[in-house]
Amino acid sequence: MTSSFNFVSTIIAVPFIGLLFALAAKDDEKTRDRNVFNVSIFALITNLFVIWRMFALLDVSKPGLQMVERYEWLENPKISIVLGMDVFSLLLILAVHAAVLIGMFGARHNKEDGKSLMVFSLMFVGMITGFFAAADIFSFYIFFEAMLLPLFMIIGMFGGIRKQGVLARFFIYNLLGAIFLFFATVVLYNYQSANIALNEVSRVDLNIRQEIFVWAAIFISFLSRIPIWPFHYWISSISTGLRNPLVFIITNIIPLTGVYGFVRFWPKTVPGVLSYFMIILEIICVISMVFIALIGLINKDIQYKIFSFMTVGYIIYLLAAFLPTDMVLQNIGYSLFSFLIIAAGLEVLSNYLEKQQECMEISSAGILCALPRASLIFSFFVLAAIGMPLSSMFLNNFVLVADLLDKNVKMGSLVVFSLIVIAAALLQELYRLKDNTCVLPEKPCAADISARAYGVLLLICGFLLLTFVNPLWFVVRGGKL
Amino acid sequence: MIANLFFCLIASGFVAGAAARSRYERLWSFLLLAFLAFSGFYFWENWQQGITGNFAFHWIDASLMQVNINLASNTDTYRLTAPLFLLAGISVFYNTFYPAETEKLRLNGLLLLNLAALILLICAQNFMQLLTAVCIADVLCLFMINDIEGKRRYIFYNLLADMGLFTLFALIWKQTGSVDLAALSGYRRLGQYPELSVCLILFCAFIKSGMFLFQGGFLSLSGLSFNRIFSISYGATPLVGILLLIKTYPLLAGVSYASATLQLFGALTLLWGFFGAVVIDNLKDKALYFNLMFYALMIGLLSLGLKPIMQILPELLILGYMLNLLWMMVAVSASNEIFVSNMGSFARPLKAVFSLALLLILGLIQFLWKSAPLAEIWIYAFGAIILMACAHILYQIFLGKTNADEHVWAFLKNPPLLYLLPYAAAAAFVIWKNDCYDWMVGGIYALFLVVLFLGPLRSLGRLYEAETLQEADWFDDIYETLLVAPVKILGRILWLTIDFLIIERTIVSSLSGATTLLVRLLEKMHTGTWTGSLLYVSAGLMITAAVVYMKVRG
Repeated sequence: MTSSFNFVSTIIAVPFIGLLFALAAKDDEKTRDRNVFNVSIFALITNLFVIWRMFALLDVSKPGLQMVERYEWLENPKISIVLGMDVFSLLLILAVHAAVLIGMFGARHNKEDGKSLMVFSLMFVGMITGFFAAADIFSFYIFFEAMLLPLFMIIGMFGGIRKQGVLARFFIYNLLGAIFLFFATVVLYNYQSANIALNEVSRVDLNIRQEIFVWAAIFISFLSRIPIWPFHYWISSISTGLRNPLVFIITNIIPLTGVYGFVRFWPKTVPGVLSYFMIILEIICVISMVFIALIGLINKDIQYKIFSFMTVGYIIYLLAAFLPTDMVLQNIGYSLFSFLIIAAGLEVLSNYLEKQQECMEISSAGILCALPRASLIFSFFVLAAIGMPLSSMFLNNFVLVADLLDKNVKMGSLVVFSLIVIAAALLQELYRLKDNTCVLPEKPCAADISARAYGVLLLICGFLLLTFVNPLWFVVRGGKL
Repeated sequence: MIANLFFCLIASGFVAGAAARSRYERLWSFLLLAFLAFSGFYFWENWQQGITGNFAFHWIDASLMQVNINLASNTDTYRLTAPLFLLAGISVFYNTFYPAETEKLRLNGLLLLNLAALILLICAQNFMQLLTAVCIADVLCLFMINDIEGKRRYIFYNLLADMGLFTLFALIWKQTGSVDLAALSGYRRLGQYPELSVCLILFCAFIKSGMFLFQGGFLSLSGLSFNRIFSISYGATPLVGILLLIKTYPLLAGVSYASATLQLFGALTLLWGFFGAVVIDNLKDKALYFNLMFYALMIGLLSLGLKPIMQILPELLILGYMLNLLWMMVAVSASNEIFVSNMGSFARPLKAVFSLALLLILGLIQFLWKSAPLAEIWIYAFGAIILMACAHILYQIFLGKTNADEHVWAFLKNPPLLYLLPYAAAAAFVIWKNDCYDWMVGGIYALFLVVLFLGPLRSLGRLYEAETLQEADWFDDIYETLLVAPVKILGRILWLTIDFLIIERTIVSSLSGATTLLVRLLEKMHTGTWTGSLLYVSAGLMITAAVVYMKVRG
């Protein structure tokens, strides 16, 4: 697909332009938050339109990257930045935009320095968009590392993390991961004396020791982002402390970068040296998934339950990414798309309920009984999350589970077991919040979500339903999948 | 035709949902009834004229999978849809006039949407449509349950069933390469898992239909009002279990143990249903135990093949439904008293209800006698057990010594004609339809009357006073102890050992401790004295020597 307009760099640039406007927004007490909020929302919505236009231009049936843009960066050493796009990447970008947008709506009443939060969020969106658009190993590495900056600021400033150790651990884990990727990038560049396209990495002819080093470094760098044992601890300890929905959503988008890394680097035919890593990794993945699902079941904190739900989802996508078929990749994309939106919706609502509970000094048990709007939307999101036919997750997860079962029945069964456990954990929470036996008549009632928020959330539910009916409804033109 | 009906049901269901809580709720309900009556007439006319047609919507058209949504009108779909349509109509009627129902229009809308989901299930020719229909019916049924405990149990039981189906169809699809239900008949090749698949499908269907060992979700419906109990029991998830088995019958037919399992669970459920119907005091629980007996018969009939169940399912559903309505009318007449131990001698004040009960029993006997050649053992066993249970409960309600309190007795009166007339018409229709006036039918009916008036099981009434028996929840307690608690304990142990003990206390603490120790050591060495400098230089030399040594050694 050739296009005279640089769409890919545009969708990376728009959040940064939004960021500049947000910084320049009128900064008095009265209007500051609203201005910054409006500018941020406008930037993201503008990008959504550009993304929609890109969907219209992408040829769905064509393999490989399209809309490729090349920028010469350095002459010596010769490094060019290459950006490109395919349906999978674009779906993830769209999902991240939608999730952050939902998070921004959820955090709009947050009075604690909303300007910085919005500015860093826009920076994060720009960075992660660049990460998904990166087509060569250098730009991939740059965005992989660069997104840590806004992330660290967001978590540090607005996460409400009380223990400094948790924050330090988060930074060390992620930095170490990035350093490992840096080593792998340097070795590959040194060996090839040129910038390498992402899909070419597995084809570079290295000797056995280098191969082991490079792949181990790549694996560790991506695993440090995914909450896989023993790397899961940084994100789980951070997620349980976060009380800002936008911060939670952004933090929990980070594992997606690890999954995406595996998807992009993982070769279709596994070279000999990788098969050792592969078996170990699959075992660790499955153990982590069961482990985190079980902890999600017993943990009473809803944040942890949502974190567990997201982790189990990410690990399933990771396991599916190891399967050697292209179609599975598309399914991961469609499923992830709904998955992120559902998780964002759940987080925003649970945060709202928590605030109401704190504000009214009431128990959260049975809180939904007095809030019909919140109850309906929350039920919808939970039912969609557990795999009912309310979003594209239903159909696409069916395909993924089928492939996993086909590959290894035992592994597939454990995946299904984890799905059941995490679904039980979410349902347990839903019915705790709806338990009318816990409602005391003399206690004050919490306020239901506003009509505007209800409308927006209903719109999101409708959007999810559309993805169930036709996961590709937004593709205007293009061939058959 | 079926497709038109399907889309009309969806539209009217959404309209009803949107109009719920409006000022003219009753008016909207009447409009809905009128729509159902009109659609029913249209449906009946098309069926009688044998109008068939195909409707297929290309849902997924990918190289990975082609899925059509089929809504074909043929004899089978008409036959299976007709009783569901009738029952949905009766449910909407009684919901509209049942005073205890506070969300009439919303419930009616859900019923119509649920009927559309069942049509989707009946017409399914592929796994995806089947799975989607089952899950949609589950979600709609969940919204119909307005009791939190009932919801909780229902969703946990059905979640297991749905995940089971999800896994099963995913496995079969990947192994056969086809999503068509027709592929099930050939699913017994080398490397495939027909036994495991049948085990899973039976497990899922048994959960949905509340068979023995899995009846918890079904029985938890007792927290609902009567109208919701019968609407759900005969028009929602429990029926989905049976339809699921009918649709996947080619898979069951290929596995030898399937028939024996169906018979075993059918028999156990029948006995369990009888036990509960006789022993439990609460009339709603009794109604549910009776429903279990009807479902046990359906499962038993399935063990004999598809023919018996397909022939008698419509009438069986209607009769079971009418028995539920009877219990509802008793409760409505007795100022919503639901404990049978607080009833007795109601025959005189409730002549009309008692007469209708006797009429229904006559219809039931006729139906059973007429259907007996199809599945003798099952029909006889079911007939004997259900008639015995009915005789016992009718004796306790209408005859025997009264235990009703003054308030109940004072306000005891037949329900309004609006309740009685449709019921009488339905009972008369059943009798007319069966058209069976064999002397044996007369003999069995006479025997029933003798048992009813003598009340040989009346001494069992004492069991109503045994609180432990009335409140016992054995199976759920067993599941809690054997399955749920160990899973939770395992989660807690993993959390404490791996997260805290291994990662936090061992790995992180060790790394942190080692770093601190190294920093302190270096701080101590870096004192600016000669000794400190010497130590630093020595350490550097040792590292250099080690690197050189390793390089030399290759």
